[in-house]
Amino acid sequence: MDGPTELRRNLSGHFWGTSFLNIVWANTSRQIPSIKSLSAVLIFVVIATAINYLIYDSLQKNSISLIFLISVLLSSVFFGFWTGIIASIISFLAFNFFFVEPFQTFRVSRVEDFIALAVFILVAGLTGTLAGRLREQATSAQERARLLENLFGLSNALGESTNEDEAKLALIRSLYLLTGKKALIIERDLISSPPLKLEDMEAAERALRHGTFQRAAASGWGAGQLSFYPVVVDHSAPLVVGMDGAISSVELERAAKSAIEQSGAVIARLRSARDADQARMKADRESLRSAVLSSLSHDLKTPLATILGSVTTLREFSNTLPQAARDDLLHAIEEDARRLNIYVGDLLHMTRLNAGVEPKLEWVAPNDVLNGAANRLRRVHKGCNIEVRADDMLPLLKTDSALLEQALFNCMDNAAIFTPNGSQITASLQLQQSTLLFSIEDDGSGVPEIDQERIFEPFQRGAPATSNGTGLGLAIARGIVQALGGSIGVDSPIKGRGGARFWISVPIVEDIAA
Amino acid sequence: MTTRHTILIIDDEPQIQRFLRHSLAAAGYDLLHAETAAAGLRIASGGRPDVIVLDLGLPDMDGKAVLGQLRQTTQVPVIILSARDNETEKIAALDLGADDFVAKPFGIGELLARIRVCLRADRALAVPLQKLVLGDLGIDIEAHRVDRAGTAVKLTPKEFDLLVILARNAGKVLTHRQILQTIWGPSHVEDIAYLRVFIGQLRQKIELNPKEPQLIQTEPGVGYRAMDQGN
Repeated sequence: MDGPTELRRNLSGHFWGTSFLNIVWANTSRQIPSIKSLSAVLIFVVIATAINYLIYDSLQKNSISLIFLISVLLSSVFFGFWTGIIASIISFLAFNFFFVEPFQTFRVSRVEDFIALAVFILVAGLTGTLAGRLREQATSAQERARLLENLFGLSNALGESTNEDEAKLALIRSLYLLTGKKALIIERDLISSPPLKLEDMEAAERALRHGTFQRAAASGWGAGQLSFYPVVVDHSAPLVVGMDGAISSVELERAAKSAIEQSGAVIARLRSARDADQARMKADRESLRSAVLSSLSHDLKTPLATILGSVTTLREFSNTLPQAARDDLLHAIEEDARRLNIYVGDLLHMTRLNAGVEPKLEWVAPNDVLNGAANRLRRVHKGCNIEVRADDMLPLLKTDSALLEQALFNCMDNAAIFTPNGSQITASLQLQQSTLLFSIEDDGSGVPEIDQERIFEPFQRGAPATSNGTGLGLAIARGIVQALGGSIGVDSPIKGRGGARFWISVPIVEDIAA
Repeated sequence: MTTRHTILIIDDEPQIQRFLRHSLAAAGYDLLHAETAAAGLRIASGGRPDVIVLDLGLPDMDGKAVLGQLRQTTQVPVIILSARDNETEKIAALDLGADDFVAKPFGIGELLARIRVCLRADRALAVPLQKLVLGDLGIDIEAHRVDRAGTAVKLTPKEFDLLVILARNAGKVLTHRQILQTIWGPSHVEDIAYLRVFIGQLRQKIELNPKEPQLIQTEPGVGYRAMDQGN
């Protein structure tokens, strides 16, 4: 037999109307009868033969063929078209051999027996064909439903996957459910790694290069044992899926292809989203870096410009400058040299904190630290109005008093800079369960909510931008407080009052984080 | 000095304003000052300054935008003050029509020299010079001839054009873009490497010591400046 196509042509050409057979054949899949179904057919026929044998005497001959027909019908219904055809042939032979005279031969001696046999094979063939067709239609409908369900499941899984690995896993699972074959997804760079045979590597390369399926060779051909299907082609890291052996049916392959294409599209989308994310993050980092540098350059160069400009003016016009101008220039030089000194000090602080400072822990009275910071503020900002309120009965604190004082001073300094001259600043200290809470309250214009996190970043100044601060004070305070195992923040406006409350809370436990 | 010139300083740093007030007064200029771009623009149109000194980092407006607006109404020379090491910003400002730049921090002598160049260039516009002098070089524009102490210096036509445009703007910085645009045309404004080669050739021919050029100085990242002839 030259295969079903050949047979179909012969049959339709000789016996049947083409259209009828087309209907029959178009819907039959090429389900080749398995050993199991053939054994079942034999059993059916044997049973039919046995029944007929037992009741042969009491029945008319017509009934014999009916009982055989039942076995044909059962075979077709359970195992499909081809099995039905085989069942009718075997039944025909059994009928002829056992129940047509002369018995135990395939010869037929009487005309009516010959007609009976001819009618039997005709009816059995038709019955088998039609029942088998129904059976196979049902099967293929079921199969289609299964494929659709599987693809739907895959598309759900893909929709939920947030990264490439999840999408790949969904595809591998789906391919396994579809075809029962194990699949692996390989990046182009990894194609030439050891587990793959040379033939398979070449097939994988071909799949990617041409964007086409590369089916595994039939066994014995010595070519690759894996089938390869391209997943993502237009990317710097193309993907190919390798499957163990070839997929058996066209329909399955179509489904697998659809699954792979779907996944490829999703992976490509995930990748481009990831690339865009990375590009944006990089741009953000860059712009932050350039903002920091630009701010640094501005803050260092402006006082330098004053100093250099004033000094060169003094020298250039040493004979013509009035005394008042001279004094003013000298003052300007002094002021900006001090400003520069503070700034450089802050920068060094920051660098030291970034490098990871080791706090020197000792037992201190928290009041002393707070008062120390307040006194320093009074020295730096002459005429500022700071009041310290603290309970007397507070526990000792094991901390680095110099660092803590610096952090508190920076918060106070910030309050003094960003409030009008003569504003009231209140520094207070409270025990709250196992922490000490330092608060520095001012009655200035407050910190808008969107800036409340940002102002603790280096080189960020609150609005309105002024050149008074270095933009580092609060960042340093935060660095210190974190090194001391505490936390820092700002509440603004203070409930019912306005202004801002900067707070630092430090735990009163013995072993604080270094 | 025949007339007193007025300088407008637009800078938000009070300390900068402070020393400039003294130095410019001592140098014989009248001073106007503004701490914001808005005030600066207002004073520029009302106060008729002869030179504007503009800081690029103003609180209320981008320096380039200020320059753009200034150039819509006036051709008064503008010197950019910039504390940023932002070359692109500086170059953009020059290409937008600023006349020169001074980077912070600066000595007062440098700023005064730039102001003088601007004031002189302002006057020179009226009389197109046929003969230029650059250091010890004499440049005859009509005759296309360059000589040093009576000896002819041979230049190709492009080298000559390059020398002339720099010498005409002696003391002023010219950006790569401005030079390329003038000599090679708008389609070559990005060919900075090309310009570098030509400058190198020109220096070989006109500088006494091409390794330490005096006549044509490089403004790194920005452009070139021909030696100022002084007053």
